[in-house]
Amino acid sequence: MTLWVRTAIAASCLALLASACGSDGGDTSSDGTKVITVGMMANLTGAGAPYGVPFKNGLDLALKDSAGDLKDAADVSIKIDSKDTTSVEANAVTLCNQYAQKKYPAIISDSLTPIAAAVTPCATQNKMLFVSGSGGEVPNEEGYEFRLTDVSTVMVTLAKHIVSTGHQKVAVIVDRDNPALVSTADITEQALKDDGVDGFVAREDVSGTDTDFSSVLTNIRDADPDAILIITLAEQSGAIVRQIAQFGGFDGVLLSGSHAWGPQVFEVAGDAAVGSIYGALWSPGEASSAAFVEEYKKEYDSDPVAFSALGYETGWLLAASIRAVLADGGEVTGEALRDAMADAVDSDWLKDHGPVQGLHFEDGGAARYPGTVVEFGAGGEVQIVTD
Amino acid sequence: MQLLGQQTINGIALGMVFALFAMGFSLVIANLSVFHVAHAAVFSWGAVFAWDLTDRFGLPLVVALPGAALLAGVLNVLCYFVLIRHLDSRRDKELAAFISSVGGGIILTELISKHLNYVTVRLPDGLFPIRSWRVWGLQISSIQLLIVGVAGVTVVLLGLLMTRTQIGREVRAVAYDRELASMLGVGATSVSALVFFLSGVLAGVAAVLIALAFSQIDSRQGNAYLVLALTAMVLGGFGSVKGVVVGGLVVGLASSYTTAYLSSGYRNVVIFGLLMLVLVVRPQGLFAVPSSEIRV
Amino acid sequence: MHTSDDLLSLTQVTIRYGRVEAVTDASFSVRPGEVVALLGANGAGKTSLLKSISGLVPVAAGDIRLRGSSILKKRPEIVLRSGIAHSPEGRRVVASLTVEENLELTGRASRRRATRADLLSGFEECYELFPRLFERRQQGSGLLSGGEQQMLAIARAIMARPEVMLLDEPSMGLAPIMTQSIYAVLSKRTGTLGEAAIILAEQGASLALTLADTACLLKRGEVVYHGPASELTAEQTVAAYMGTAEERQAGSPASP
Repeated sequence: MTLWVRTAIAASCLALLASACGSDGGDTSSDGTKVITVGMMANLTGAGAPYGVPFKNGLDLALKDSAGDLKDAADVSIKIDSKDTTSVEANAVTLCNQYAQKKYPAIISDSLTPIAAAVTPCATQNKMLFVSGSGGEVPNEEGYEFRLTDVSTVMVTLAKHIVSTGHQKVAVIVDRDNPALVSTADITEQALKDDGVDGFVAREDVSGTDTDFSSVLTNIRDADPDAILIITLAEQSGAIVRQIAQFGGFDGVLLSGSHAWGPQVFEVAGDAAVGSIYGALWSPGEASSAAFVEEYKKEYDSDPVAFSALGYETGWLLAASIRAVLADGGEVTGEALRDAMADAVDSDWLKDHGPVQGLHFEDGGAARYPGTVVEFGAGGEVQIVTD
Repeated sequence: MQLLGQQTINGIALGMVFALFAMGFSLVIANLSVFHVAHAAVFSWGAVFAWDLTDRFGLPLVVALPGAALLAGVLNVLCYFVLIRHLDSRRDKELAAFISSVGGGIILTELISKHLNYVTVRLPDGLFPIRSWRVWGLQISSIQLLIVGVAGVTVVLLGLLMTRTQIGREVRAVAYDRELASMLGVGATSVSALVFFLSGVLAGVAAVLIALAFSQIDSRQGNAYLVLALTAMVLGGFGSVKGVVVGGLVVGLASSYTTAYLSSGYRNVVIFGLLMLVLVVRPQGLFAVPSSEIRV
Repeated sequence: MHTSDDLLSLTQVTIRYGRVEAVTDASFSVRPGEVVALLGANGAGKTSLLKSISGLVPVAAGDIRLRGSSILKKRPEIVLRSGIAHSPEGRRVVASLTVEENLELTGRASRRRATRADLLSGFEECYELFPRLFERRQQGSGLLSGGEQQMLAIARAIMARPEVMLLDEPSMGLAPIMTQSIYAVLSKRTGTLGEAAIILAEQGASLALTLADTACLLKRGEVVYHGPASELTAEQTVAAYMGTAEERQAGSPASP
């Protein structure tokens, strides 16, 4: 090989490398508007997909809807750099490190507490705002992580509803592999006790990879409950509901689920899910969300689910905090965004557009909002059953 | 007592599926001494075939069950020719075939992921009527009856095939001594292909039953059953059809009883503890087959 | 080498295991119905030659022809179906099958079109020659005595209705009385045993020569005598087994 060929190859490699490193969080688009790029670790496939896909849809829609206002107010636009994690923690961490190298000020994860737990140290270390759709508590001393799923309030609402509809003997099935779901079960048990019920009559742990629930269901039937609470991810919950129907002997028992439920439960369980209820973080029936629901249907030709709403909320939240930082004349860094979150949540802009009503964050990054209890109808549509 | 009875029924239904899986696996081991781990992927494909046949082509279960089983059989024959057959002349052929099978299994699993577009699918509703009956205080579901019935018939048919037919004699002769069998007129390659076919059919039947019972089909489904089926095989003593069935039932019952009386979290601990215990007390397995009559 | 009345002919067959040459340029032929005694000391190459005929070991050079067409590179089951049955040394029976299953296995595997009647007449012939097998027909063949297993191995070859039977050391490891009774059956020369040519590989020359029309003497992989059994002299045999008188005096190691 002659010298110039080698030189040319080396040069082109360098050029490639340079172009790969080139993009960071502060490019400028052709019309002179500053572009802020935000990294996303999307669970588009794998166990998190039922949450990740609608979340991403909601997020994209929010960024589209907020773009005009944001440009007018701060001459800036938001771009999402999104890659699939296949719902695997290690992939999410790798992505986080890549985004840190590109100096993005903020990153987003749609759901799954294990992923939030794996990514938070990376976000903290690199001082990036980290908005997650998950709900489980993770070590977050410097406050870079904000999680939008409120595990506790909605389960308190659900527990109240279960007790108020005359159920006293509640059995629970918990995915012991997911810390957020385990703590959801604990929170619900406490809520039941607060409502005057002696906690769960039976508690069965399952693994997130289990597929056969016959033994677990036999134990539960042995405890003769009048309600069963299923706290597992949506598809597995659907499989459990279906096997309850196949198994028989559960006539008249109320089936209920946590915030992790969604339309997938009905897709898997079919008619077996009709009449079952769950604590929904958000439901399309909420009066204040009509505009969002309509727009979402038009854009994606499907009904929004709770995680679409959380994604939509996240998009506006992000836009609002960027707007707040720029309004103060600051630079859009992860630190600045973190500090602006409180202002963003309180802003009228977010209250006017965000579908999650009454949202606020506690210290440590946990969101709080009431949620609703919904019931599956004959066609899989959900009805709000709380006031 | 009622709980015990109910968990016994659960354990038997589950154990029969383990037995089907394990039987296919041990047929191949007996025939070629090959640890054909891609069997797990063939199992997963069996469920996927059933999904294709029912959900996409709208076929009823009576067609889809044998159809998926046959397709799984054919796939396993392909595995034999692509992954294993050509390694026959190597001195370390067992090891080479094992590695080859591991690789093939990974590819087959990935192909399922692609085929299913990375989502979990399930057989359509109403494919099999869901009922359940109370008998002597025990609840028995139509799915459990189907599992035990289909698996039982399959086991009996396999037993008859092995003991009463020329095909069975040829399979047993090849398992006993490949060279000798060829001197007696048995084409070892065609018998091996047949064994892979039967083994794939067994995996396919088991997979369809699982897909039906647990309403879940994904690419890694077979892997979860591989280790349990191996345990069943070792417990049963590697040998006869009878041994593998008993081994499968033992694993199924251990799984159910653990969930009933301890916690499902201890399930694998108990099953593998049992395996260790049996191997210490009876290294030859529960049903030792005399060495003069090894295998199948 | 091949002449028209030869049933089976071997032409300059060489067999190698890695670098070791087990058989060198061996040539001999078998006429229909002929009994050939293949003699030689342990390691002289008898078993290798028989295995090469039935396709179990590859032939490095030379040719093997059955009725004029080459059977080199044919798989063992194909060789059997074209008319050469091999009863291996060491009384190898399929121990996991019963006696009758052993017979039926070969009876059906060797002739794909065999009818039930063919099978029954095969059983009958075998049981007539070896009444002991009839008594034990439902037993696992692994439970048979050594002599009975040898009977089964021969009977199994008969089930294939071969034109050539390769019997590898039928007397190996058997009590003299059992050896005699097996040879008594072989010497009857009726039915299949009468029609088929037999290549009888033996270490013990004397018994085999009582039966043989032709003798073929191997020494360290080479044919040192091929001719009428009656003309093989004791000196030639001893020389093949122990080395010639000169070799012995020179103190060279006896073969093998």
